[in-house]
Amino acid sequence: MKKCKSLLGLVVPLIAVLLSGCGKESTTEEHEKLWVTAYATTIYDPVRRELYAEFENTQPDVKIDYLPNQYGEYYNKLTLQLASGKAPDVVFTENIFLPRHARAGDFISLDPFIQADKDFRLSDFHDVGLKMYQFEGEQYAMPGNLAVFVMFYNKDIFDAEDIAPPDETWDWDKLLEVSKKLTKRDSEGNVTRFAISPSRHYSIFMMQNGAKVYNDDYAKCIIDNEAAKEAIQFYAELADKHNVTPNLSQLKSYQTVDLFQNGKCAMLITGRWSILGYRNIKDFEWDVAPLPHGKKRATLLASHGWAVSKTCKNPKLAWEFVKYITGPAGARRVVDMGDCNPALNTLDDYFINEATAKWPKEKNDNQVYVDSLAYAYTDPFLHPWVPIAEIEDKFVEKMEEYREGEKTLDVALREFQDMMNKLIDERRPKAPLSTSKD
Amino acid sequence: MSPSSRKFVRNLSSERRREAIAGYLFILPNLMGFLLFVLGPVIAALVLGFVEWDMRSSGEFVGLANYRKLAFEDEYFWKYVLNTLFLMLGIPIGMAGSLLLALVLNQKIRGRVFFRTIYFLPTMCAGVAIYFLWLWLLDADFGLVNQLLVHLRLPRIGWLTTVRWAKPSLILMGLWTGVGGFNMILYLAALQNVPKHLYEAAEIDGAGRWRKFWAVTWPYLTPTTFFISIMSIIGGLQGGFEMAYIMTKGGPLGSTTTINYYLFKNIYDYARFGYAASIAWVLFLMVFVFTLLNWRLGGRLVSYD
Repeated sequence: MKKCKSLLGLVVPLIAVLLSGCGKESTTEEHEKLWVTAYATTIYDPVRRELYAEFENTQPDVKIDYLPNQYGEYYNKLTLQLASGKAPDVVFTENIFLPRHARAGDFISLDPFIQADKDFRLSDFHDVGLKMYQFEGEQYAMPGNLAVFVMFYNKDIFDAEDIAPPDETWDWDKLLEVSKKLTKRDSEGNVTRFAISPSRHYSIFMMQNGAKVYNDDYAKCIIDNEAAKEAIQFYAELADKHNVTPNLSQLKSYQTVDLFQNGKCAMLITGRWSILGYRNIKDFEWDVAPLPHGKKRATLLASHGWAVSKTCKNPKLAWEFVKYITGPAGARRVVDMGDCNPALNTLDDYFINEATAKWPKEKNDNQVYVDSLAYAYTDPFLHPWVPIAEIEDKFVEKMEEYREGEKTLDVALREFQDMMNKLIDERRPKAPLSTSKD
Repeated sequence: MSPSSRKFVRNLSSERRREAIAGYLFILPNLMGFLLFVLGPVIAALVLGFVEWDMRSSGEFVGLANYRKLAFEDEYFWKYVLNTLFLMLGIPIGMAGSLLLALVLNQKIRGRVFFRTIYFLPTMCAGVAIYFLWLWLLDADFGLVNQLLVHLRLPRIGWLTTVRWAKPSLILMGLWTGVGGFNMILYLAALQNVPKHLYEAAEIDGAGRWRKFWAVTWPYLTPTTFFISIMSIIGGLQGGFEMAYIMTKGGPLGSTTTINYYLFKNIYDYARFGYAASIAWVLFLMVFVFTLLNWRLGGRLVSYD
């Protein structure tokens, strides 16, 4: 008898707990859930939640299921979710990851929805933004914003040295000439102020010299060419020979300091997102100019976009959401936050005029960002099936070997090309890409 | 149950049988946990080591190709093995430091309980908090360490940003955390087991301080030293991940990437799941061989009584 009572005491609560769990399931069946994932920032998230609420108002019986993720963990988690087959419906992604996702079939092609949707005009978007999210002719995501690389410069330094600020007529020779004048050294020859602090320098100078990294179908790496060598050498000379920009050992010491923000460098090539930090600069006046040009005019473009994953059960609903958040309603909010260019060309005027009401200084600058879009391209190192992290690690390692003097540029570049070709063959996916046209 | 345990249970009286069954049921959750979360993944990793899979559609069976690549073709892997071994240089230094502290704090000095507490405090802090603390202390521009150097008119050092100083900085941080921690407690416990009359006997025989330590104290410390060295080596070979992930992201030019962190990079940055699994198994083999060597060679130096 005693044993029966104690057993009952164990079993009854257990059954109650299980039943209560079942009960909860049935009450949420009324709403259709759309599972959205993105990484959160303190600026973006409140805006996003407003947009989700607005979207839910336009769609009866739909609830957005969204949990913010931290930036560092977001892409790791997404990799595992996609591998396990239980991925969110709508995925926030960036252009650097799109080729691999598209080739692997993680995202569905949005072409059928674009073509079937009568109110939707693809031409409202900047072509360069759309192209970043296309793969083999199909659209795999819609751009949410565009971050173009421009030249930030310290107006006070240019005024003090009585040099005309940078403009679109500058070419590589002029850049070097002005940089030499702007670099200040102390009595022992150490640099106290650099002229320029570029980032993604290899990509930008290579694009401006017309150098290609891969052939058209990404089957071979062809970086071992004269145009690439000239571009790499130009940057290497800026850093190592003339030292107008930090060389390797200086970069290691200055890594944690934002040279531009501390007035320790006159020019900075970076993306528009940096403006969020630079708006707080009180010590000096700064302004924005288009990049100098090499043989070609080119600048780098980055962006974020929204895609629909292959595990989505209701792709039509997911498409409505993507349309909404990258459409005028969503994009306008992003512009209001003062972050990057809109991906919609219909919002360009708004971006230049009204959104800068908060930051009147930038009214002329915003025209520079929009104009630069005409010659903006995505990173030439991106590859559809080799992860960009692996490519960058290996390229940087080889370039360091060249710049430390261990190898000549010819040898280092050829070794990198051989390594890349091996990687491309090794990691080529076995399954062909199935498209919506099949 | 196995045939032998069934026979065991059947041969017991009914009372003992019920106890035996209850015993098996009690360990069942732990056993299930072990099978599901430890043994299962270990076997899965073994299988994955023979496959190349980028976590998308289908993997491809490649036999020993991953291991061959690891041994002969991956120039980075051996550099990271050397990194790991370099970082393990802190182990003997830490052990000596812990022993020294234990010797000092074993004596009846004033405030020894206070000192034992404060030396043990870093061990009680959450590891991540310590890494962030040191990340800011060692910051090249605003860190307190460099500010002290500047105050003393010395040049600033890029502790975590230069190849020359990155690993030594991590070793120093590990010493700060580890000396005075569990190793010190173990040594204190061993020291308190040394019979006092042996010291008196040694003094009568005219032994000095050093001789007393070497002849009386040290033999009683050898089992503890043996234990600590094996555990530290096992931990050291597998370690370095949190430091690399939080503080240096693999370090200036890969100088603080350890085997463990390289494994992580292969999964998330390079999407080479199979290759990462083969690294895990090579690491296991290394730990196994080191421990075996340590056991055989070190075991001979340990005196038990």
